[in-house]
Amino acid sequence: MKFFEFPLLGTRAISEFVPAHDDVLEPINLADNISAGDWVYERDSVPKITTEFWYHSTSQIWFKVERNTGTNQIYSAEVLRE
Amino acid sequence: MSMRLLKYAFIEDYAEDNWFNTPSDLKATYDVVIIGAGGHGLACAHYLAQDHGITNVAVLDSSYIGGGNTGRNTTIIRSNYLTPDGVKFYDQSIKLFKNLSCELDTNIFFSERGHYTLAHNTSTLRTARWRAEVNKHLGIKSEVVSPDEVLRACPEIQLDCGGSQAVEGALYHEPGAVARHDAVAWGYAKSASARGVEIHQHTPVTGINTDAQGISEVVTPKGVIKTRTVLSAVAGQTPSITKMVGIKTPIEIFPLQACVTEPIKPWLNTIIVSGSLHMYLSQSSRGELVMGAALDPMELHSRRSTFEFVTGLCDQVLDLFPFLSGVKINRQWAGMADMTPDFAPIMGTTPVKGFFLDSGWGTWGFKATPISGKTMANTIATNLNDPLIQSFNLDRFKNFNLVGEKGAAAIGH
Amino acid sequence: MSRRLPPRPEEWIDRKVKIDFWFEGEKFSAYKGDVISSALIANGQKILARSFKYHRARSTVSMANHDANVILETLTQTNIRADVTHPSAGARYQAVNTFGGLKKDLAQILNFFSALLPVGFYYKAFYRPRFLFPLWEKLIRGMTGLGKVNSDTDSWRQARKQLFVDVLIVGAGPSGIAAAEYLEKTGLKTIIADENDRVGGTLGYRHNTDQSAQQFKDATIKNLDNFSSVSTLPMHYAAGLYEGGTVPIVGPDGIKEVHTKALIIATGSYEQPAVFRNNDAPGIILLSAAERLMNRYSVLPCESAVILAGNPEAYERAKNLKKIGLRIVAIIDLSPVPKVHEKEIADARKAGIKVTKITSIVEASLRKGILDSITVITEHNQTEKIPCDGILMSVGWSPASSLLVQAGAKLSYLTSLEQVIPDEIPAGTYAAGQVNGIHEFKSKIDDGVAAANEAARFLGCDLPIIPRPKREDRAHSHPYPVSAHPKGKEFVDFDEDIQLNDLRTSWREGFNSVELMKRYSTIGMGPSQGKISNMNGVRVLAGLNKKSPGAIGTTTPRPFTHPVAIGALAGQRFRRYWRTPMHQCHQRMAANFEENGHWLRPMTYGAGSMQTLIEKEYAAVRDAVGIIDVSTLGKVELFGPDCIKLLEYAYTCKFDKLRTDMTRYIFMVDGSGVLIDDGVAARFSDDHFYITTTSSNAHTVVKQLRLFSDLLNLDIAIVDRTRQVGAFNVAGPLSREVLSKITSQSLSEADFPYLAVRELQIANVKARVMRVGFVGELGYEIHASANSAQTIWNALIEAGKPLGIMPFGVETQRLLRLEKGHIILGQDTDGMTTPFEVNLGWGVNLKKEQSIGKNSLIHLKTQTKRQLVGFECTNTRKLEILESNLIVEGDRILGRVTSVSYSPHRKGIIGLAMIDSIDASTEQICIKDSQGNLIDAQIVSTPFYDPENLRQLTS
Repeated sequence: MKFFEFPLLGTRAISEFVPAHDDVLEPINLADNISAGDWVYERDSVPKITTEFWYHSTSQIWFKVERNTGTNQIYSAEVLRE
Repeated sequence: MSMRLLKYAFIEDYAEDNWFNTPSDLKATYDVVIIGAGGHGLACAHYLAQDHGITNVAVLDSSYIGGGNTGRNTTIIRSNYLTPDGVKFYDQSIKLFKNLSCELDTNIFFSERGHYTLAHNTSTLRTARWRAEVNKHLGIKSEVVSPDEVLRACPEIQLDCGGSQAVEGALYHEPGAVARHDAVAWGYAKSASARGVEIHQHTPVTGINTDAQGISEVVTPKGVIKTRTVLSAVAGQTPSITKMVGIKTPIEIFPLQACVTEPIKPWLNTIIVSGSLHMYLSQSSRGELVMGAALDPMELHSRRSTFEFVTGLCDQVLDLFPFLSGVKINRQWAGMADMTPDFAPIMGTTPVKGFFLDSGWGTWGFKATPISGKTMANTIATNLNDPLIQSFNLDRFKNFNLVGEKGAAAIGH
Repeated sequence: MSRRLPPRPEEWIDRKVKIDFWFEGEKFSAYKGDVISSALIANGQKILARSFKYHRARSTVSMANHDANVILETLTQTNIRADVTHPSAGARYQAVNTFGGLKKDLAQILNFFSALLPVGFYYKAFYRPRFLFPLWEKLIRGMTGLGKVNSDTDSWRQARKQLFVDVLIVGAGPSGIAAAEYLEKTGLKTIIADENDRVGGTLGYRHNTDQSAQQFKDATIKNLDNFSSVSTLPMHYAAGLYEGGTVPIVGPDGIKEVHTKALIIATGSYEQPAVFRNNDAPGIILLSAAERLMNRYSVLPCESAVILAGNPEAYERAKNLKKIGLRIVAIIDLSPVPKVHEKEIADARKAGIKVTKITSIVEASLRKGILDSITVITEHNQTEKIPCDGILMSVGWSPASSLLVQAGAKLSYLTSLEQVIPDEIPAGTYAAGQVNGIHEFKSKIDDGVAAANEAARFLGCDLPIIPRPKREDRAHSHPYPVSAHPKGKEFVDFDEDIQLNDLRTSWREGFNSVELMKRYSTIGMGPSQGKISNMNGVRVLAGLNKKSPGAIGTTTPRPFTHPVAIGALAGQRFRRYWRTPMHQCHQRMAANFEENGHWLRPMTYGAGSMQTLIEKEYAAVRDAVGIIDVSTLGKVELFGPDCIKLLEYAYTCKFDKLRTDMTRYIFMVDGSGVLIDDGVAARFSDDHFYITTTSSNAHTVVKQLRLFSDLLNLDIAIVDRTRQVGAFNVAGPLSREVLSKITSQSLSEADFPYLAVRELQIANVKARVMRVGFVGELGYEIHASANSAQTIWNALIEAGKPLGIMPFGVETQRLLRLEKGHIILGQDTDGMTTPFEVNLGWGVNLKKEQSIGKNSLIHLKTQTKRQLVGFECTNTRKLEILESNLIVEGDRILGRVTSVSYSPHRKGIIGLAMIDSIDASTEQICIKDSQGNLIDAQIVSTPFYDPENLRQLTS
């Protein structure tokens, strides 16, 4: 079980969290060279450090987490909203 | 009795020739470079050689033959998909599987067991019927069956699932089968090798170069290969390879775990899948129960196993088969599933000339091994997408032409 | 003839307590503390099992669960490891995988045909002719598999416990105990676990005549129970190491998941067998197996033993066993390096033991299936046959390093030791003792202390550094304890019956890397997962590849170290059950429930066929008044100035036309424009809204709203009230009449118009009431706090009795809404449906600045490929059509039926179908029923019932 220290919650198992699937806001305007399909579907799923949004369902709080998708190391977790 | 076996008995110190053509050095050029010596890559090499006479081919792998998802999956083969495109594609695969042992002169242990996707509520039953109707319309033997019929096929099953989410019916798929995954890779490798295809293990691809005409070179630590045709068939490593040629795909990588029990005498003669319980199991010819569950929830490029997976799976397994309490899990492992938004693969030509993709296999790759190899070989040989894979092209996402499998997939086994 | 030695104080058995059991139909007697194997061997049993493939006679090899030779079953338990399991009184054990019993096993004939069954034989045969394969497969399946499973066996589960510690020590041998003793002084919370019944490890056998070892043992082991920060857990094995420092340790009463900050692995090593012809015969065991048998259970492994010495410690160990009763015929020294055991050999000869130096082993010979002698080639090139009934092997070790590798360590081959050692161990994990390549007793203690010191410092303790002892510059393993024989039967893997030639054949056939060889030959894939076969396999492969063993590498050790029962892994059965506030009312009214996620919802009420019940309830709603519990809906209260901003981002419509104290239908899409939820929004003011969601998506909608509000940084409070609020729908032409009986506020059309929301006092309970039209009748959806909802429900039932009020369930609701052409998300829509496909384009506003899925919807609006249509079959009353039946056009599949039912109003079959876009002039579709019959249906516009919504306008 992987644990991490979260603000407000303390140390929790990361299995208590669910990552957001659509975690980017809908753009007001798409750039000229990007179609809606590209924007919705294109990914860059290589091992790297990413910022993700995680939901803690029991407390209903969203967190912003920095994680390495290759090693699964978590660098930081903040409450998404100040 | 097999003549092949008799030779071992009567010829002293008998062994067959090396199954694989594994020269130590790379040539300067090849007509086709296939990245990935798993089932798909090797199948493609076999069909390129057998169907098209293209043998100046190198299959490269960063590890050993079949060491990726081919050696890690839970070997379920079926064609009970939701869309006509999907059904036709996987049905062709099953047809090829049926004759594969003979074609490759390697027993891949293709074993028809029948496949039950359990439905625990009206909604899943509705989807089960949708799949059954599409299958039947296309001539595939699938049918919605009652809980009693599930019990008849598998008398050991506990239909009330311990008191919640009882089984209300199932999608029964007669052609459902299992096979020996390693043997599929080895058989294709052996056949391709016999025709001159080269296999280079422990040869990672570190770069792919292009020029005005498209693909030009493949870079490895053992040297640079000049070629105009590259096939990427690397499943969980696809994003790293596509990045080398500047292509973006919707693929996301998630670990998919599995486990086996100690070998026990045969009792489960069919394949049981439950989307609601997030589990599926079958019994291998070695007697082990081979079990899996849903994908890990977070993107991760790792094959590490978790305790949550195996405990969660056992919790659900006992709802269906309570008597298995004393049976022991021997080993667990993981593969990296290359998932797509519409639960269908990404195959065929790409915007980069000479670069072909066989990817997006998520949790549905092993069953497609023969047909993916065959259609990719056709596509590469003619530079035209084989009709069976036209709707799987990378360009479908741009225009929201997703394959309609999204309706059916629970854990997609 | 008994092999039980006279009582000794250190023995683990209690001779005062006898346990009788049966084995293969014969009665045996054990002492408490015996394991099944020790009791069988004590009573003279020679053959304890049959091997997997060739059904050769077998007995124990390690007595430590490092081999899986002796596996037994009873009618209720399967795959019992006899070497480490205590016999149950009265149990009837059988050896697994025999055909006709252990003695007469008919499958022994396979041994005779073994030449025809080379490695990978099954890949080379049985597939031609094709039609015969199923028969072959059946036969092969019957031959594989070990124990049987009885589907009548009682189910059991063991709750798992979670333990949080600073340090976990795995292994309570000398190093582990030394580490524990050190850590006790630091006060760090520590657990030391050991898989054996008692702690001590090699202190209890290998080092049991070493005086300093025994002093250490007496001093420390007694103290373990008195430690305050260190807890001792015997009978627990560590199943694996997982991310985050979790080590599940498995004990007789279940699994303890230990979450530790630092980990000390003091697991020792697996003694390795020598490979020679017939090395699998009963009586041929590891020297440590003999040590365990004699020290723990006071059982003699044999009458006349030959010791195979491939390392220096063989001699000391042999002497120790001689002291407690073993009769040694000879020690055979296999060492390839001349003079390396000179001193030990001299000492042994002085003590009267015959020592013969050899260059190779020819074979072990059997007479009538029992070990009879060993034949060797001496250093003088003479063939010598030594009679014996036991061969005790001390030829080398392989570290029990799986947890270390799982932690990230690499295994390096140390030529000086001729064994692998763990290397590059990441910080936080420490190896100590034999697993670390340390063999000398004193060094084991020092290594344990040093490891504990490293762990303590890692955890922040301010302590001076204690250096690690050096490893001996002396080989404790024979580099190649393998003697080939032209006639074969030199077994490398006992689990899988893999002979030396099998590995050679694999190599020649191209499976020449450690992974390929494993998968093709199956070495290491059996129940013992290669503990005593992998290393020899690596040595053989190294020889074939002409490389060093280190260059060959090893296969990846995966959990579990020893197999773990499904019942232990499953843990407690915990399932959520949610009940609505009206649950007891439903029970009293004889509801027929169906599971809906965690909820139970009434499908219908009363006894009778579903059809009859639906007809009754339908009639009540259409003609009088009905009431349905909709408490499962999601309910969200929104407060704050940014309510509209959030709603307009999350939902597709604009909210400016929604007036105060009115409601409207809303739906949301995801980023790709696919419908994911619908509900109703009520506006109380600019900064106070109340919305409902579907039952199954309640949680998801709240989650998404919170995400959007956080990302957009909105000034809004989102309160999830789903499980605080009960809700029900009172519907029917007489609904107003019923409601007005128990509320004093005005329900007139002017005061409470269609789609309005009002706060009413009903039966003296505060309630929020919305006029809704889902089922197509005058109706009120009443929301009240969960505590009071039942009061209102009961009051309504009471007030409605004279008017014929009936509760109705989801099945009737399905029919009612279908007649109005209202969709149910997840039934009439699927994972790809956009609003445009289901006639909801009117609710999509693409002019908003920013809303989820807008860009996709803009694109999708112009390429709507499917549409939901209403259909009707007037020529049939019988429902032959089922949901999901296909709509076909010749061979082509046009779509499917999503909802279908007999409509009392239309007196025919009505339904909704999702089909590929068709020409506006098309009037008919063709439905294919599940039997393949084609049924014509007319496309009709919806609603099927009351298209002008007149039922909502009553005075």
